[in-house]
Amino acid sequence: MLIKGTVFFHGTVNVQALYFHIGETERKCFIEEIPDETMVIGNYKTQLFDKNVNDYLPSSPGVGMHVEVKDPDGKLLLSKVYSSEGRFTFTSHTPGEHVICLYSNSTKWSMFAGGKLRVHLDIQVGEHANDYQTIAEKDKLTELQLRVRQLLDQVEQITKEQNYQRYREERFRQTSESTNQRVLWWSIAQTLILTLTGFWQMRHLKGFFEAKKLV
Amino acid sequence: MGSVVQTYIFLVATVVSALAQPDTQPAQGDPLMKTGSRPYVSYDFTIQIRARAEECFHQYTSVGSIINVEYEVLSASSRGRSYDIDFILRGPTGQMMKRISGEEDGSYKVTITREGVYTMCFDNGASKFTAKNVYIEITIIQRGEWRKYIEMQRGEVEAEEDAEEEVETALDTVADSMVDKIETIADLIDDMIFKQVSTRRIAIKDWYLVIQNNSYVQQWSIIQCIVIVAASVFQTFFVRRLFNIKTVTPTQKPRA
Repeated sequence: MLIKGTVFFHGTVNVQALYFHIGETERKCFIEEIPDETMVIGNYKTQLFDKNVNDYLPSSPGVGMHVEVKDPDGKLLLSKVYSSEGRFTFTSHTPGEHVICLYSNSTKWSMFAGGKLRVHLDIQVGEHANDYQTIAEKDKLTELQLRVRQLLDQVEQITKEQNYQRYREERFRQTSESTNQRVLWWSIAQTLILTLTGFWQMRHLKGFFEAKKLV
Repeated sequence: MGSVVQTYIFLVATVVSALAQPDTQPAQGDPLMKTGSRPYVSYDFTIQIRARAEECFHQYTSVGSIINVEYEVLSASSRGRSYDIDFILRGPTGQMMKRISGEEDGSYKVTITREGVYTMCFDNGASKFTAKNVYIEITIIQRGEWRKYIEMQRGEVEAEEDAEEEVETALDTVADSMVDKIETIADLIDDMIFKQVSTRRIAIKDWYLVIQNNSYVQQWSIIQCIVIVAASVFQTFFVRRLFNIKTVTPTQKPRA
């Protein structure tokens, strides 16, 4: 009775991703910390504001989004113009802070948009952007099995995050040790420079006074 | 142009009427709509908020979900300035649910009792010139649907018990208790996720601090070395200058 094949999670509430508003020439940049050799998937959708209806249109063809991704060294990983909705992917090669910038490439839409564009954005790092609807359909899972599968995926995510945390701690420790070393070596260097300049000063003045026949 | 606008209005009218019904099927092949099937959604990113500007993020949330927002100001465009920022959470009707003013970091967790679009705003209005880099983590645990499902299942089991008055088979008992156990596990996993989110935020803050320390030490040491050398050179030549006696007196007569 409980283990039924009811389709429950399908066709439920109309949930959307996080959205924000962007101006015409505005450039919104998101900085994400990404480990190396990781695929990043970004799903986005844009909606134009229609003054006549005083609401956002469900879709806005003709508005292009320029997506630019820079890696931690400032190198451009991705720079493409996409249509008004779609997805972009890139793979990181070095761990660190990647900058994902979005801006609109057209100026035409301000005429009947009132200058506002709504952008839905969902940036997923790694491969936990699971779509449980298709998984349930493909593997013919019941609700209970689907729930257990979701929990397993969540636990896997937690493990991945812990691994990344360990990597962060190691990087942190390396930087701390480097600071420690630098403090030590620069102190020694400064003392040395101080002593050397002192000697040079004394010698120079001694020679000067002897030349002036004062000593 | 006029016909294009008219087409848009027509499209809007049809779609708005379709969307007005609750529990609509999400558009097929629309990847963003499928976030509803996930047990939790989590966003974390760093964003730069300009001086006197505000950045807002909106998210549709269903009943029974838990919204957890954590934020941290990582750096400011000019060093030494205050790292304060305001955080405002607004409900579906625009009412203010929570406001944290003038803090360098903060977190807020709330369980949603009303479905709708919730707005999270970060306001840098207090500073006139300083732009700030803010690290934001938004985690939303969506278990409203699952809870409804459990209620439904429990209701069905009770109804059947009342109707048939039969002893439950072993399988039913196992399945029933499994649902409870899964709920417990899910709660524990949620706690783990929240703790990890906190740890990640603190780790990133500490990382920024350590990196800054590292470069400060180097820069200041180099400057200090230059200052030492310059000071001793300046000293030497100043002392030398003291002994520069002019060979001619102020009235242009040769001095002894």
